[in-house]
Amino acid sequence: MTWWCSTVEWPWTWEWRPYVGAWLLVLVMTVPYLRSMRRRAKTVGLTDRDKRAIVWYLLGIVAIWVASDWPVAALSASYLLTMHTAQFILYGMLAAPLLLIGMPEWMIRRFLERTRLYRAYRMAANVFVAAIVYNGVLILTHVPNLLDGLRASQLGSFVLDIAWLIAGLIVWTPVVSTISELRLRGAIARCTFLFLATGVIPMIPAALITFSPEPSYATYELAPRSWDFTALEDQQLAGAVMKVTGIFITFPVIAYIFIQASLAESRHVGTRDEGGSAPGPAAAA
Amino acid sequence: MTRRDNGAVLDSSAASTEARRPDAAAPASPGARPPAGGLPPDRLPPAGPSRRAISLIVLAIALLAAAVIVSMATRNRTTVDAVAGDDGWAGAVLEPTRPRPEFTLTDTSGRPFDFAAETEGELTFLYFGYTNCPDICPIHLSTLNQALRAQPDLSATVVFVTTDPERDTPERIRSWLDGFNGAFIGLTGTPEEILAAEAASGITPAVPDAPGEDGFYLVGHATEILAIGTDDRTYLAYPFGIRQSDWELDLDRIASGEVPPVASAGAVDVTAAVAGQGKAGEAASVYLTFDNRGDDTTIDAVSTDAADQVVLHGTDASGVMTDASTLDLPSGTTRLEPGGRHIMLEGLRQALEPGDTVTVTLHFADGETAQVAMDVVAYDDVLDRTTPQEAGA
Repeated sequence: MTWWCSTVEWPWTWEWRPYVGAWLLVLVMTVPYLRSMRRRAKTVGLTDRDKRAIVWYLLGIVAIWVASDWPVAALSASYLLTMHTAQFILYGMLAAPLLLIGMPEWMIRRFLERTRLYRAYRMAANVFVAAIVYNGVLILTHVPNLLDGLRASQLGSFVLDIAWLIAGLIVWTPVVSTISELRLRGAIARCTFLFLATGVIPMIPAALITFSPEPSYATYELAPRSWDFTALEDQQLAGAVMKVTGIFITFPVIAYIFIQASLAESRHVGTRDEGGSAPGPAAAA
Repeated sequence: MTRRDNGAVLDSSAASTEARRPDAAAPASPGARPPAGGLPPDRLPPAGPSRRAISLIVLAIALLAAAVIVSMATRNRTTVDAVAGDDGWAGAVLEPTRPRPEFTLTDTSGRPFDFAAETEGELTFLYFGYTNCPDICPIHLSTLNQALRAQPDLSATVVFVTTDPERDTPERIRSWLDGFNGAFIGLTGTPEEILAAEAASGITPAVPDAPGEDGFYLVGHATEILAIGTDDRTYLAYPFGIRQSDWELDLDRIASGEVPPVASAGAVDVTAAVAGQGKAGEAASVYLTFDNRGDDTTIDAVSTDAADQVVLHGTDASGVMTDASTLDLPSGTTRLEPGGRHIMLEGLRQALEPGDTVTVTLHFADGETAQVAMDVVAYDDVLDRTTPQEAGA
């Protein structure tokens, strides 16, 4: 039995394969969370926000499970660079923000206190550090020899996947963290950071992958082909997927932030007008 | 506007231009506890690292990114290193080289195909595999095809011989090869004919596995693609694992006229070798070309099983042939040519006819030896074979 998915040499089949490590990861991330929520419910009760957080968190866990288990992980580790890129997106661009949204402030503060990770997390959440860490991990884990080497072993593949998840958690912290002092203030700041950190810089490795005249990764070039496209076409598609991620994830989030900011501003103005002392026509009447 | 809510994540109530303060106070949320060390957030040290630390991190990442870009821009040689020797060829250099294999099979149009005659003088890639191969064969041929497409000026013939004639009908082979390149030649034959072709090519014979319950079976077969030069010598063998970038490196060299050495000893490569024909009991000449990448050296002796005696011949100032006890090889290129220095095989134990192969062993002064296998050609053709020529074009 395989605990984590790594490169194999046999041809792809749709025969299901279990990856115990993926299930364990899901359990380790879910059980303590739900127990904590249950304790909270018994003591002070859950707010509506807590209940919504559970949904977000579980969606993040689903994203991790999909990324770590068959078939996505199997295709990603051995056969298709495109699926490898999709897996990266699942970890770093989908699961990470969902997990952050799904962890209420009281919970993450307690976690950071118990693990004494607050200072390190706060330092990592600095916008410069977060952008550098995320893009550093992105670039480093796409160095051909390094990626081929990591993918070859279960441990290496696990390290690669977890690195993506952690980098994703770090880069999304200034945007969606429930800890207010770690979150950027202002919609423009958050959108600019998100655009630059996750939308622009990743285009560099994506372009290198897309426009390479030959396959860059032995793992995928020498994989048994079960599809009608070549290793180079797979690589070009992977580069395109990496590039358009911004369109499908980053840009909607940016749009959402702006809409929320606009609505909040309207409410703010409305409240001020209603409670303000400036005499209006009604007051005058 | 300060945020006192309990974490409306995408809530932009702070949509004002209020800047993020690194030491901003933590929200007083229900159940919230002071962060690490029991310090309230407003008493924690500044959030980020110092400017110097950030500068160092930025520098480190920039260097890392540069290294990565260089790494990705240059060709990955992982697989090459596993195969290549000091000569830098991605394929395994065959020493001694082998002549172009001679066998006749049937092509996909049902016509007899005399491999040696039909591909004579052409750069040829020869591969034994089967169309039901789930991994190695399609990847290997696809990789070669992609590499050849990157060298449109290189004229090369690719010949695929099935090791599974029972399932690989000519039609199936043709259809399968067309998936890669319609110019690829497919050959089949009886199991005996294919076995003979494998033997002629120096390839380990293929062995089919026992069929499974569904009748499907795999065929264990050699994975090398043999590269045969325009001089009809088999120089290189490319095992599975060779990547497109590896192929392209070798094809670049082949296209520029370079061929792997036919033999090597230390820093000395024998880059060309040919023997003239001779009758049994008589003599035949051997002409070699050396590329000495090291210091000056000498060949002290030459031995062979093909003749009673081997003599090193020089030529004096008047053009008269003289015996030489050693053969000096200064640094650089040295050619043994008709009318100049050469090696004479005296007392041939059997006739050497054009198409035969003869092997000699060179004994160098430093104790190194090199075994050189070479074609026997008619004397009229010797000059052609000892003159440098474009190998791949």
